[in-house]
Amino acid sequence: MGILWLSLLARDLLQVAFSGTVLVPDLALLALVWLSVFRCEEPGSLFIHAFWVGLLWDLRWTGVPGMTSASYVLVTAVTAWVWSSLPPGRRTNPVLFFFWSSAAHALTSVFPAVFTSKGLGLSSSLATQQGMAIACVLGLTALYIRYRRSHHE
Amino acid sequence: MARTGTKIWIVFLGTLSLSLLLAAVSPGSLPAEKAMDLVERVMAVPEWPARMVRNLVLKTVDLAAGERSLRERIDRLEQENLALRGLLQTTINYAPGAGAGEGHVTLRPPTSWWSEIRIDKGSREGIRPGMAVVLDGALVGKVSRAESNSSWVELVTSSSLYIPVVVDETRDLGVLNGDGNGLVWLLYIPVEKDLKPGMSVSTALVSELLPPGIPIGRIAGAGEEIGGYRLYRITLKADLSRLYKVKVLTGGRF
Repeated sequence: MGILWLSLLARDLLQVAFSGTVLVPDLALLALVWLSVFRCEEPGSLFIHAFWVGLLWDLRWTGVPGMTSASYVLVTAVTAWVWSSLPPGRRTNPVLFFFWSSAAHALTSVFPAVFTSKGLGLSSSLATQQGMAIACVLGLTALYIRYRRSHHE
Repeated sequence: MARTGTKIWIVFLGTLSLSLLLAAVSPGSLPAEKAMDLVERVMAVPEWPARMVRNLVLKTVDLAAGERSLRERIDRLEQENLALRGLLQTTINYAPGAGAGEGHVTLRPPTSWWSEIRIDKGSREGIRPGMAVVLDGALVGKVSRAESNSSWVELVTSSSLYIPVVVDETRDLGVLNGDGNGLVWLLYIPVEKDLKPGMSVSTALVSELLPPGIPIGRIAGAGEEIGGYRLYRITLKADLSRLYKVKVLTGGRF
């Protein structure tokens, strides 16, 4: 679970460093997807960590406590449910992992605009964030392939 | 097995419900703002290296472009301009020792996008409630609450902020008020005054807290007439869609 809190800290530090220029990718969400995939049968404690990580982010950056935690809990639940429903052979599919992570990131990025019903628009910073997120997801998918191979799954 | 599944459902629904409840109830509440301030104070410690790197890069870029000296010059001219405008309106020495402190915007809640922002300067830097906050010399709001390391600024577009203003060309006095959705209106101007689009509006001396003569914007057009007074829509001089750094005018009557 340490990976989740570390990714939150990394995102926070990057957001401070790039404040006023770009939105950094949601590294905590990608870590959550990763953990949900590998703990899809037992996601109970993940929900609690997802909630606290999201709440901390909300208190630090969004100003709407509960908004990010709700999206994190939902992503954790849906990812765990989808992965546990897949036949064991399909779970190792890296293409599925890539598209799932990208879609989860894209959806949670627009979630605040939907949630507050005050859309911030498809700004260039949002597009840059998604571009950087795709690069991160590619790296994560490479890790995923490596991990699955090393564990002979 | 079934018990584990039930437990997972309970934890999922519990955390989700709590999140949604918080999101529905907490925005804008004082406990939530206190919690945000606390988190900012705590996170300031691990964030220190990132802030240092950012400031270092910004300073390097500023120096490379020769912008720093230009900014200082602009700051001096703004102060001088402010003092001269004040002198034009009154002989009262309004704000001896007034200065300007620059602050970064650290939070702009989406639910109160046009109402408030939080900046990373607070009472420790001499900031007090009521002080004027400007962007490129134009008023964007005033400090509503000052913590030790941060302050909340109520924006001119907020529906609860009323600012006494003067139309520079005619010296007519009125009150500026936002609608909470990005628009700003000039109130209490008698219908016979017939103000023209393009006329500039700045803060008036009648305010106890804001220095006089801070530019705010221009009249964009006339609105409806209510009880013998006409509303005028104001186009702000400051671009509130690009609020990253602001200046707080310290000093004044407090």
